[in-house]
Amino acid sequence: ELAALRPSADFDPTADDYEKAIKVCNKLLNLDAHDATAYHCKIVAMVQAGKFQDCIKQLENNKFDLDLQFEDAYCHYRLNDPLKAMKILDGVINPQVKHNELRAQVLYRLEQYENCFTVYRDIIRSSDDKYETERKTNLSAVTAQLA
Amino acid sequence: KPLFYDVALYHVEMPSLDHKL
Ligand SMILES: [K+]
Repeated sequence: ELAALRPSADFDPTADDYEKAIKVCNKLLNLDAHDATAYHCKIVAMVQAGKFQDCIKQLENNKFDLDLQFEDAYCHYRLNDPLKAMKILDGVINPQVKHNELRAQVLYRLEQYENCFTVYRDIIRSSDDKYETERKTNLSAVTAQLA
Repeated sequence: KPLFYDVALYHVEMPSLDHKL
């Protein structure tokens, strides 16, 4: 059943697909409460389905050895609590691109445009992925606020 | 309001399931 959750190039899941994925993960967790992958998939599906409050509740009971600080911070960001999101991001020991990406968005929400600009400049310099165009658009938005 | 993408959402990704399949 987990194979259905496997992403493929032509698969563009809807919120409904993620609702189904949550159900599959719940089934798997009922069979094996220690299934860390099912738990991880459930958290991702909850975020993608927009169930941010429920997701934070789930993460409070994270018994697994999984680093889900990014997902936790993202939920707080979407629930319009950028300060809490920032607090979680500040606690990340080895931040990756995704953490800095979210930090930039949190700084934008906090209207800290100069810091936001610096984070985007660093991400754009150091990253080479399929989101370069979106980042440059975001950087333009930040620059417009600085002008 | 200027266009601003939620790129962080794209980083919320399913874990690798290869070891499970
Ligand atoms: K935003």
